[in-house]
Amino acid sequence: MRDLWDVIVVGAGPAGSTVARIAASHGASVLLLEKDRDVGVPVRCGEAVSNRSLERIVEIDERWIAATIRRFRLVSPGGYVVEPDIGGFGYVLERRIFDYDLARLATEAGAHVRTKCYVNALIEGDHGWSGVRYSSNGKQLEARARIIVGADGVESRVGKWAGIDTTTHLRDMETCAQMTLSNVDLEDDVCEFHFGNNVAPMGYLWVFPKGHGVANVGVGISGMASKKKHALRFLEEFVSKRFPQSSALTTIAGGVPCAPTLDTLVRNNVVLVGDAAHQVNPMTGGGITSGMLAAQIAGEVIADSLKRDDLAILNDYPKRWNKDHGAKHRTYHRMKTAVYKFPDETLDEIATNVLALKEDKRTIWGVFKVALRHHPSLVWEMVKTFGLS
Amino acid sequence: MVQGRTVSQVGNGPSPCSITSMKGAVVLLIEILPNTCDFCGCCVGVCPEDAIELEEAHIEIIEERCTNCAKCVWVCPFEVFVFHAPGKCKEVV
Repeated sequence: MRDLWDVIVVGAGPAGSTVARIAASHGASVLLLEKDRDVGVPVRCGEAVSNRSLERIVEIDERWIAATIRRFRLVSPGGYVVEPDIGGFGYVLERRIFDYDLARLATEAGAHVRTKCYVNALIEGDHGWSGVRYSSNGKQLEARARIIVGADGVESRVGKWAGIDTTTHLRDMETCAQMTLSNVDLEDDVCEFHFGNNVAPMGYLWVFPKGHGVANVGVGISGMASKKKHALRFLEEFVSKRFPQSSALTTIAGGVPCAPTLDTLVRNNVVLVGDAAHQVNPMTGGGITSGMLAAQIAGEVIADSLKRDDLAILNDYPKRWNKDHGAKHRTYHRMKTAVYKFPDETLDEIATNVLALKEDKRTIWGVFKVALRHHPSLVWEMVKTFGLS
Repeated sequence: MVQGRTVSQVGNGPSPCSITSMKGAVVLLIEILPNTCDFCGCCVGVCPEDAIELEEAHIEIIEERCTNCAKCVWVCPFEVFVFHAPGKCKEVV
């Protein structure tokens, strides 16, 4: 078996498959290692994305889409319902098909995928690391590469082995439980978000429809809040009240690092992308498209670095990421931290104030503007980030 | 690779409090409840010591690295970990 590659990518999620596809399409030999037996399974994700973000990165296949979302419904702790105009639309994906296809597209570009390969160490080399050790079907194996990409998700161990502190602070780790419920009666174009200390402290509960009476219903709460009561308990309580007739087709756990992007994304010949690099949007917890966007940049930079045989070029990747998205994510993180401190009464007050606005002013931005009144220092952050006042 | 040992793998022997380390190392106070883990990786993400091995369907605490900080206990969505407080055991080092 060939074991010498230009690039080894650890983890075949959306970010890993994207970096593999881009690097391979520029002529690099790429090995993509996935620890699970099946790419895309299990799905640890609410599966919602904005159409605009996704179509910037990849040509959308309609088989990936379970439902098209045209409205958001925000429910405050006291039950006030705000439906802001989202100024576009979104999708709830079928990640089983989506992730599978992204890996397939990587192989079509020339990358090679191996599943059931659990990477457990980096191999030291003269200039950084020369490869990875991994176990597969009971055997301990090695593969060598010039560049190693850690796309190993929330666990982010590749980075740790390379000397990067990838540990997520307990406060920033959103600990999640989700059920995919059948036999639920919902509007198929509405994503619901529920807030409040009794529903999802320091986080939110989501109801994302997938068509045919099926929905992803999940809770994400901060690790700090989870000390008192764990995510699955919150979810079970909500589901038994709201969807007593439903059946859970899947019950799954997950963790989302809602933190600012890591300060170090490249160390020698090791590059981090996606959740492993903390590139999730810290405000929403959405990580699919931001991880893929980072992976696209990383893939291009890696290909360039290989062509010119210069590892220093890899540093273009953090520069390009931080210039736009990284900077925004730092602001989103500060905003999230501030919103976490809002008591339930404040959230209710924001909701009632938004409801007092004229209907055409009830946009996502309108909700933010009202929220900003409660935390004036957020205004300056918003101005810096979006150039708005 | 350093292989770890979980309290759950000790079986029905003495309680964690009474497990004394021969080398004076920290005694593992965290137990993984069998057949409860969903293998999501949340605990690995918050572990400051890289003390958890998590394969597709296998989880293990690397005892030599674990400092009993309990972040895994708090963060787990499914309550897979149990922290056995030392209680009256004064000799835990």
